[in-house]
Amino acid sequence: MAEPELAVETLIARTALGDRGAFQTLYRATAPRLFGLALLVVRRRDWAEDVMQEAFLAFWRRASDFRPERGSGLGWMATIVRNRAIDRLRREPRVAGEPDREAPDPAPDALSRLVQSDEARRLAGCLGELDEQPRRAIALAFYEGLSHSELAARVGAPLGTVKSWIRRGLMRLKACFEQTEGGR
Amino acid sequence: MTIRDEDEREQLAAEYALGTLEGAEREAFARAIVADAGLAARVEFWSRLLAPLTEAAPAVDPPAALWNRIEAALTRPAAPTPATAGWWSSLVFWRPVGVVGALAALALALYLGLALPAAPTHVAVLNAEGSRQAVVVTLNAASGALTVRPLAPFAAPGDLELWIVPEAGAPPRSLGLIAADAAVARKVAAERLRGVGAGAALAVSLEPKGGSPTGLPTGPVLCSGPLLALAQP
Repeated sequence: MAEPELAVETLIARTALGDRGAFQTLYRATAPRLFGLALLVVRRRDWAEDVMQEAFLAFWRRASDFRPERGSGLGWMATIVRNRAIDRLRREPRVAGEPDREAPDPAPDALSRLVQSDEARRLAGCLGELDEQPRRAIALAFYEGLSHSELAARVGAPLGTVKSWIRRGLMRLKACFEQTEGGR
Repeated sequence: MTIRDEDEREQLAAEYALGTLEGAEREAFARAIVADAGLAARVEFWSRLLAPLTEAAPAVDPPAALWNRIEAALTRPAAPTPATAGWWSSLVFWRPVGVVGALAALALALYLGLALPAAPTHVAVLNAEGSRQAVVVTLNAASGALTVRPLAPFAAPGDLELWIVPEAGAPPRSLGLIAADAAVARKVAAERLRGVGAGAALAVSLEPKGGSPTGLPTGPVLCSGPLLALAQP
Protein backbone atom coordinates (compact mmCIF):
# COMPACT_ATOMS: atom_id res chain seq x y z
CA MET A 1 0.00 0.00 0.00
CA ALA A 2 1.63 3.19 -1.19
CA GLU A 3 -0.95 5.37 0.50
CA PRO A 4 0.36 8.48 2.22
CA GLU A 5 0.22 8.35 5.99
CA LEU A 6 -3.24 9.25 7.21
CA ALA A 7 -4.14 10.87 10.49
CA VAL A 8 -5.38 8.50 13.18
CA GLU A 9 -8.62 10.52 13.27
CA THR A 10 -9.21 9.93 9.55
CA LEU A 11 -8.58 6.23 9.97
CA ILE A 12 -11.09 6.07 12.83
CA ALA A 13 -13.68 7.88 10.69
CA ARG A 14 -13.23 5.35 7.91
CA THR A 15 -13.33 2.49 10.38
CA ALA A 16 -16.68 3.82 11.56
CA LEU A 17 -17.95 3.19 8.06
CA GLY A 18 -16.74 -0.39 8.12
CA ASP A 19 -13.61 0.04 6.00
CA ARG A 20 -11.44 -2.98 6.87
CA GLY A 21 -8.37 -1.66 5.08
CA ALA A 22 -8.48 1.55 7.10
CA PHE A 23 -8.90 -0.48 10.27
CA GLN A 24 -5.79 -2.51 9.52
CA THR A 25 -3.81 0.66 8.79
CA LEU A 26 -5.10 2.06 12.07
CA TYR A 27 -3.84 -1.06 13.84
CA ARG A 28 -0.39 -0.80 12.28
CA ALA A 29 -0.12 2.88 13.12
CA THR A 30 -1.15 2.58 16.77
CA ALA A 31 -0.52 -0.99 17.98
CA PRO A 32 3.06 -0.50 19.33
CA ARG A 33 2.05 2.52 21.43
CA LEU A 34 -1.08 0.85 22.72
CA PHE A 35 0.62 -2.50 23.36
CA GLY A 36 3.36 -0.72 25.31
CA LEU A 37 0.67 0.95 27.42
CA ALA A 38 -1.25 -2.30 28.01
CA LEU A 39 1.97 -4.06 29.00
CA LEU A 40 2.89 -1.24 31.37
CA VAL A 41 -0.43 -1.63 33.18
CA VAL A 42 -1.00 -5.40 33.27
CA ARG A 43 2.67 -6.52 33.23
CA ARG A 44 1.96 -9.80 31.50
CA ARG A 45 2.33 -10.34 27.78
CA ASP A 46 -0.59 -12.76 27.49
CA TRP A 47 -2.91 -10.37 29.33
CA ALA A 48 -1.71 -7.41 27.30
CA GLU A 49 -2.54 -9.32 24.11
CA ASP A 50 -6.04 -10.11 25.41
CA VAL A 51 -6.53 -6.46 26.31
CA MET A 52 -5.45 -5.40 22.81
CA GLN A 53 -7.83 -7.83 21.17
CA GLU A 54 -10.77 -6.63 23.27
CA ALA A 55 -9.88 -3.01 22.68
CA PHE A 56 -9.52 -3.35 18.91
CA LEU A 57 -12.85 -5.14 18.68
CA ALA A 58 -14.31 -2.19 20.57
CA PHE A 59 -12.64 0.26 18.12
CA TRP A 60 -14.13 -1.65 15.19
CA ARG A 61 -17.63 -1.67 16.65
CA ARG A 62 -17.63 1.73 18.30
CA ALA A 63 -15.48 3.88 16.04
CA SER A 64 -18.48 6.11 15.36
CA ASP A 65 -18.53 7.07 19.07
CA PHE A 66 -15.26 8.94 18.61
CA ARG A 67 -15.71 12.74 18.72
CA PRO A 68 -12.67 14.60 17.36
CA GLU A 69 -13.66 17.86 19.05
CA ARG A 70 -13.13 16.15 22.42
CA GLY A 71 -9.51 15.12 21.97
CA SER A 72 -7.05 13.23 19.82
CA GLY A 73 -7.78 9.86 18.26
CA LEU A 74 -4.81 8.20 19.89
CA GLY A 75 -5.86 9.62 23.27
CA TRP A 76 -9.32 8.12 22.83
CA MET A 77 -7.88 4.74 21.89
CA ALA A 78 -5.35 4.81 24.74
CA THR A 79 -8.09 5.56 27.26
CA ILE A 80 -10.06 2.54 26.09
CA VAL A 81 -6.97 0.29 26.21
CA ARG A 82 -6.16 1.46 29.70
CA ASN A 83 -9.73 0.96 30.92
CA ARG A 84 -9.75 -2.58 29.54
CA ALA A 85 -6.41 -3.25 31.19
CA ILE A 86 -7.73 -2.02 34.55
CA ASP A 87 -10.89 -4.10 34.16
CA ARG A 88 -8.66 -7.10 33.59
CA LEU A 89 -6.61 -6.40 36.69
CA ARG A 90 -9.69 -5.89 38.84
CA ARG A 91 -11.20 -9.17 37.62
CA GLU A 92 -8.04 -11.12 38.27
CA PRO A 93 -5.67 -9.26 40.56
CA ARG A 94 -1.95 -9.76 40.30
CA VAL A 95 -0.55 -12.28 42.73
CA ALA A 96 1.13 -10.38 45.55
CA GLY A 97 4.89 -10.52 45.34
CA GLU A 98 4.77 -11.84 41.79
CA PRO A 99 7.79 -10.46 39.96
CA ASP A 100 7.10 -8.02 37.15
CA ARG A 101 8.07 -9.61 33.88
CA GLU A 102 8.23 -8.18 30.42
CA ALA A 103 7.25 -4.80 31.73
CA PRO A 104 8.79 -1.67 30.28
CA ASP A 105 10.10 1.10 32.53
CA PRO A 106 8.40 1.64 35.84
CA ALA A 107 6.07 4.54 36.40
CA PRO A 108 8.05 7.36 37.98
CA ASP A 109 10.46 7.56 35.03
CA ALA A 110 7.58 7.63 32.61
CA LEU A 111 6.58 11.08 33.84
CA SER A 112 9.87 12.56 32.72
CA ARG A 113 9.16 11.44 29.16
CA LEU A 114 5.95 13.44 29.12
CA VAL A 115 7.03 16.11 26.72
CA GLN A 116 5.33 15.22 23.48
CA SER A 117 2.14 17.21 23.02
CA ASP A 118 1.02 20.57 24.41
CA GLU A 119 -1.66 18.79 26.42
CA ALA A 120 0.93 16.46 27.90
CA ARG A 121 3.22 19.35 28.78
CA ARG A 122 0.39 21.15 30.51
CA LEU A 123 -0.57 18.06 32.50
CA ALA A 124 3.07 17.43 33.41
CA GLY A 125 3.30 21.04 34.63
CA CYS A 126 0.25 20.54 36.85
CA LEU A 127 1.54 17.21 38.16
CA GLY A 128 4.79 18.97 39.00
CA GLU A 129 2.92 21.28 41.33
CA LEU A 130 1.64 18.41 43.47
CA ASP A 131 3.42 17.20 46.57
CA GLU A 132 5.71 14.24 46.13
CA GLN A 133 3.44 11.62 47.71
CA PRO A 134 0.20 12.38 45.84
CA ARG A 135 2.14 12.71 42.58
CA ARG A 136 3.83 9.36 43.03
CA ALA A 137 0.57 7.69 44.06
CA ILE A 138 -1.25 9.03 40.97
CA ALA A 139 1.58 7.95 38.67
CA LEU A 140 1.68 4.45 40.15
CA ALA A 141 -2.09 4.16 39.88
CA PHE A 142 -2.09 5.36 36.29
CA TYR A 143 0.82 3.40 34.89
CA GLU A 144 0.64 0.24 36.93
CA GLY A 145 -3.11 0.06 37.35
CA LEU A 146 -2.87 -0.22 41.13
CA SER A 147 -6.05 -0.01 43.20
CA HIS A 148 -6.29 1.91 46.47
CA SER A 149 -5.38 -1.13 48.56
CA GLU A 150 -2.58 -2.24 46.22
CA LEU A 151 -1.14 1.26 46.37
CA ALA A 152 -1.25 1.24 50.16
CA ALA A 153 0.66 -2.04 50.20
CA ARG A 154 3.17 -0.81 47.64
CA VAL A 155 4.09 2.44 49.36
CA GLY A 156 3.67 1.07 52.89
CA ALA A 157 1.12 3.65 54.04
CA PRO A 158 -2.35 3.21 55.59
CA LEU A 159 -5.25 2.86 53.14
CA GLY A 160 -6.95 6.02 54.39
CA THR A 161 -3.79 8.04 53.88
CA VAL A 162 -3.34 6.79 50.33
CA LYS A 163 -6.99 7.52 49.50
CA SER A 164 -6.61 11.07 50.74
CA TRP A 165 -3.38 11.58 48.72
CA ILE A 166 -5.21 10.48 45.61
CA ARG A 167 -8.29 12.59 46.24
CA ARG A 168 -6.35 15.67 47.18
CA GLY A 169 -3.96 15.20 44.27
CA LEU A 170 -6.73 14.76 41.71
CA MET A 171 -8.68 17.77 42.89
CA ARG A 172 -5.57 19.96 42.84
CA LEU A 173 -4.77 18.64 39.39
CA LYS A 174 -8.21 19.67 38.21
CA ALA A 175 -7.90 23.15 39.71
CA CYS A 176 -4.54 23.65 38.03
CA PHE A 177 -5.87 22.31 34.75
CA GLU A 178 -8.86 24.61 34.75
CA GLN A 179 -6.66 27.58 35.58
CA THR A 180 -4.38 26.96 32.64
CA GLU A 181 -7.25 26.31 30.27
CA GLY A 182 -10.03 28.52 31.56
CA GLY A 183 -12.14 25.42 32.22
CA ARG A 184 -14.14 23.23 29.94
CA MET B 1 -26.40 3.49 43.50
CA THR B 2 -27.47 7.10 43.33
CA ILE B 3 -24.78 9.54 44.39
CA ARG B 4 -26.17 12.92 45.23
CA ASP B 5 -23.36 14.81 46.87
CA GLU B 6 -21.57 16.84 44.18
CA ASP B 7 -18.09 16.52 45.70
CA GLU B 8 -18.56 12.81 46.17
CA ARG B 9 -19.65 12.42 42.55
CA GLU B 10 -16.63 14.33 41.31
CA GLN B 11 -14.19 12.37 43.45
CA LEU B 12 -15.61 9.00 42.52
CA ALA B 13 -15.59 9.93 38.83
CA ALA B 14 -11.93 10.97 39.11
CA GLU B 15 -10.96 7.79 40.95
CA TYR B 16 -12.87 5.62 38.52
CA ALA B 17 -11.08 7.25 35.57
CA LEU B 18 -7.73 6.88 37.31
CA GLY B 19 -8.64 3.27 38.02
CA THR B 20 -8.10 3.06 41.76
CA LEU B 21 -11.64 2.01 42.70
CA GLU B 22 -11.89 -1.71 43.34
CA GLY B 23 -14.29 -4.49 44.17
CA ALA B 24 -17.93 -3.74 44.88
CA GLU B 25 -17.32 0.00 44.84
CA ARG B 26 -15.98 -0.09 41.28
CA GLU B 27 -18.81 -2.32 40.10
CA ALA B 28 -21.48 -0.17 41.71
CA PHE B 29 -19.99 2.95 40.18
CA ALA B 30 -19.78 1.34 36.73
CA ARG B 31 -23.49 0.55 36.99
CA ALA B 32 -24.30 4.07 38.15
CA ILE B 33 -22.63 5.60 35.08
CA VAL B 34 -24.96 3.74 32.74
CA ALA B 35 -28.03 5.34 34.26
CA ASP B 36 -26.57 8.76 35.02
CA ALA B 37 -25.45 10.79 32.02
CA GLY B 38 -24.10 13.59 34.21
CA LEU B 39 -21.85 11.15 36.00
CA ALA B 40 -20.70 9.63 32.72
CA ALA B 41 -19.76 13.11 31.51
CA ARG B 42 -17.58 13.64 34.59
CA VAL B 43 -15.81 10.33 33.97
CA GLU B 44 -15.21 11.43 30.40
CA PHE B 45 -13.80 14.75 31.61
CA TRP B 46 -11.36 12.96 33.87
CA SER B 47 -10.40 10.41 31.26
CA ARG B 48 -9.58 13.23 28.86
CA LEU B 49 -7.63 15.11 31.52
CA LEU B 50 -5.49 12.05 32.26
CA ALA B 51 -5.21 10.80 28.66
CA PRO B 52 -1.95 12.68 27.86
CA LEU B 53 -0.21 10.53 30.48
CA THR B 54 -0.50 7.64 28.06
CA GLU B 55 1.95 9.42 25.75
CA ALA B 56 4.72 8.55 28.15
CA ALA B 57 4.20 4.81 27.68
CA PRO B 58 7.02 3.28 25.66
CA ALA B 59 6.20 1.66 22.30
CA VAL B 60 6.51 -2.13 22.23
CA ASP B 61 5.90 -4.16 19.08
CA PRO B 62 3.11 -6.67 19.62
CA PRO B 63 3.57 -10.22 18.28
CA ALA B 64 2.74 -10.55 14.58
CA ALA B 65 0.01 -13.10 15.35
CA LEU B 66 -2.01 -10.55 17.33
CA TRP B 67 -3.44 -8.89 14.23
CA ASN B 68 -4.57 -12.29 12.92
CA ARG B 69 -6.35 -12.96 16.20
CA ILE B 70 -8.12 -9.61 16.01
CA GLU B 71 -9.08 -10.07 12.40
CA ALA B 72 -10.46 -13.55 13.08
CA ALA B 73 -12.50 -12.18 15.97
CA LEU B 74 -14.06 -9.50 13.73
CA THR B 75 -15.79 -12.08 11.59
CA ARG B 76 -17.06 -13.97 14.63
CA PRO B 77 -20.17 -11.93 15.17
CA ALA B 78 -20.47 -10.33 18.59
CA ALA B 79 -19.14 -13.24 20.64
CA PRO B 80 -17.08 -11.39 23.28
CA THR B 81 -19.55 -8.64 24.16
CA PRO B 82 -22.91 -10.07 25.14
CA ALA B 83 -24.35 -6.59 25.52
CA THR B 84 -24.39 -6.11 21.76
CA ALA B 85 -25.66 -9.57 20.82
CA GLY B 86 -28.92 -9.82 18.96
CA TRP B 87 -30.32 -10.53 15.58
CA TRP B 88 -28.70 -7.44 14.17
CA SER B 89 -25.23 -8.55 15.26
CA SER B 90 -24.65 -9.82 11.74
CA LEU B 91 -24.48 -6.15 10.81
CA VAL B 92 -21.38 -6.23 12.96
CA PHE B 93 -20.36 -2.61 13.03
CA TRP B 94 -23.62 -0.77 13.02
CA ARG B 95 -25.20 0.37 16.18
CA PRO B 96 -28.21 -1.77 16.81
CA VAL B 97 -31.25 0.10 15.61
CA GLY B 98 -33.52 -2.84 16.26
CA VAL B 99 -37.01 -3.74 15.26
CA VAL B 100 -38.39 -0.42 16.44
CA GLY B 101 -36.02 1.42 14.13
CA ALA B 102 -37.04 -0.66 11.16
CA LEU B 103 -40.73 -0.17 11.83
CA ALA B 104 -40.26 3.52 12.45
CA ALA B 105 -38.49 3.80 9.13
CA LEU B 106 -41.38 2.21 7.33
CA ALA B 107 -43.95 4.30 9.10
CA LEU B 108 -42.01 7.46 8.44
CA ALA B 109 -41.44 6.69 4.80
CA LEU B 110 -45.17 6.17 4.34
CA TYR B 111 -46.29 8.99 6.59
CA LEU B 112 -44.02 11.63 5.14
CA GLY B 113 -45.59 10.92 1.78
CA LEU B 114 -42.48 11.74 -0.17
CA ALA B 115 -43.12 12.25 -3.85
CA LEU B 116 -41.19 9.33 -5.20
CA PRO B 117 -40.52 8.62 -8.84
CA ALA B 118 -40.65 4.93 -7.99
CA ALA B 119 -41.62 3.08 -4.85
CA PRO B 120 -38.59 2.53 -2.63
CA THR B 121 -37.02 -0.89 -2.37
CA HIS B 122 -34.90 0.07 0.64
CA VAL B 123 -35.24 2.35 3.60
CA ALA B 124 -32.90 3.46 6.39
CA VAL B 125 -33.12 5.55 9.52
CA LEU B 126 -29.75 7.03 10.37
CA ASN B 127 -29.20 8.07 13.94
CA ALA B 128 -26.54 8.44 16.58
CA GLU B 129 -26.38 7.52 20.23
CA GLY B 130 -26.96 10.45 22.50
CA SER B 131 -28.44 12.60 19.75
CA ARG B 132 -31.97 13.23 18.59
CA GLN B 133 -30.81 13.82 15.07
CA ALA B 134 -32.24 11.34 12.61
CA VAL B 135 -32.24 11.12 8.84
CA VAL B 136 -34.72 9.08 6.84
CA VAL B 137 -33.47 7.70 3.55
CA THR B 138 -35.39 5.82 0.91
CA LEU B 139 -33.86 4.18 -2.12
CA ASN B 140 -35.04 2.40 -5.21
CA ALA B 141 -32.11 0.13 -5.98
CA ALA B 142 -33.28 -0.50 -9.54
CA SER B 143 -33.81 3.09 -10.66
CA GLY B 144 -31.35 4.74 -8.29
CA ALA B 145 -34.02 7.11 -6.96
CA LEU B 146 -32.89 8.41 -3.60
CA THR B 147 -34.58 10.65 -1.04
CA VAL B 148 -32.90 11.99 2.06
CA ARG B 149 -34.77 13.84 4.77
CA PRO B 150 -33.20 15.14 7.98
CA LEU B 151 -35.86 15.14 10.71
CA ALA B 152 -34.16 18.09 12.41
CA PRO B 153 -31.70 20.55 10.86
CA PHE B 154 -28.02 19.71 11.36
CA ALA B 155 -25.94 22.45 12.94
CA ALA B 156 -22.78 21.40 11.16
CA PRO B 157 -19.74 23.57 10.43
CA GLY B 158 -19.16 22.01 7.02
CA ASP B 159 -20.82 19.96 4.30
CA LEU B 160 -22.69 16.73 4.93
CA GLU B 161 -21.89 13.76 2.77
CA LEU B 162 -23.94 10.57 2.49
CA TRP B 163 -22.10 7.25 2.19
CA ILE B 164 -23.13 3.72 1.43
CA VAL B 165 -21.25 0.68 2.66
CA PRO B 166 -22.48 -1.99 0.24
CA GLU B 167 -21.56 -4.86 2.54
CA ALA B 168 -19.82 -5.34 5.87
CA GLY B 169 -16.14 -4.59 5.58
CA ALA B 170 -16.27 -2.95 2.13
CA PRO B 171 -15.03 0.61 1.68
CA PRO B 172 -17.76 3.24 1.65
CA ARG B 173 -18.91 4.95 -1.57
CA SER B 174 -20.16 8.48 -1.71
CA LEU B 175 -23.81 9.13 -2.54
CA GLY B 176 -23.16 12.85 -2.69
CA LEU B 177 -23.73 15.84 -0.46
CA ILE B 178 -27.00 16.32 1.37
CA ALA B 179 -28.67 19.44 2.74
CA ALA B 180 -28.43 20.20 6.45
CA ASP B 181 -32.03 21.34 6.72
CA ALA B 182 -34.06 20.16 3.74
CA ALA B 183 -35.14 16.99 2.01
CA VAL B 184 -33.37 16.15 -1.22
CA ALA B 185 -34.37 13.75 -3.99
CA ARG B 186 -31.99 12.65 -6.71
CA LYS B 187 -30.85 9.79 -8.92
CA VAL B 188 -27.80 7.80 -7.96
CA ALA B 189 -25.65 6.21 -10.67
CA ALA B 190 -26.11 2.45 -10.88
CA GLU B 191 -22.43 1.65 -10.25
CA ARG B 192 -22.64 3.34 -6.84
CA LEU B 193 -25.21 0.75 -5.80
CA ARG B 194 -23.52 -2.31 -7.24
CA GLY B 195 -23.22 -5.22 -4.81
CA VAL B 196 -25.58 -3.76 -2.20
CA GLY B 197 -26.43 -6.69 0.02
CA ALA B 198 -28.18 -7.57 3.25
CA GLY B 199 -25.38 -6.09 5.38
CA ALA B 200 -25.44 -2.71 3.65
CA ALA B 201 -25.48 0.46 5.68
CA LEU B 202 -25.60 4.22 5.25
CA ALA B 203 -23.82 6.97 7.09
CA VAL B 204 -23.52 10.76 7.03
CA SER B 205 -20.10 12.28 7.65
CA LEU B 206 -19.01 15.85 8.19
CA GLU B 207 -16.71 17.01 5.40
CA PRO B 208 -14.97 20.15 4.20
CA LYS B 209 -16.87 22.49 1.83
CA GLY B 210 -17.50 20.70 -1.43
CA GLY B 211 -17.29 17.23 0.12
CA SER B 212 -14.52 14.79 0.91
CA PRO B 213 -11.40 15.61 -1.12
CA THR B 214 -10.24 11.98 -1.05
CA GLY B 215 -13.32 10.08 -2.17
CA LEU B 216 -13.47 8.49 1.27
CA PRO B 217 -14.88 9.94 4.46
CA THR B 218 -12.40 12.19 6.23
CA GLY B 219 -14.55 13.66 8.98
CA PRO B 220 -16.54 12.28 11.89
CA VAL B 221 -19.62 10.17 11.27
CA LEU B 222 -22.67 12.06 12.49
CA CYS B 223 -25.21 9.30 12.13
CA SER B 224 -25.55 5.88 10.59
CA GLY B 225 -27.89 2.94 10.23
CA PRO B 226 -28.49 -0.29 8.35
CA LEU B 227 -30.14 -0.20 4.93
CA LEU B 228 -33.20 -2.39 5.12
CA ALA B 229 -34.83 -4.07 2.13
CA LEU B 230 -38.60 -3.64 1.96
CA ALA B 231 -40.75 -6.64 1.17
CA GLN B 232 -42.06 -6.14 -2.35
CA PRO B 233 -45.79 -6.54 -2.91
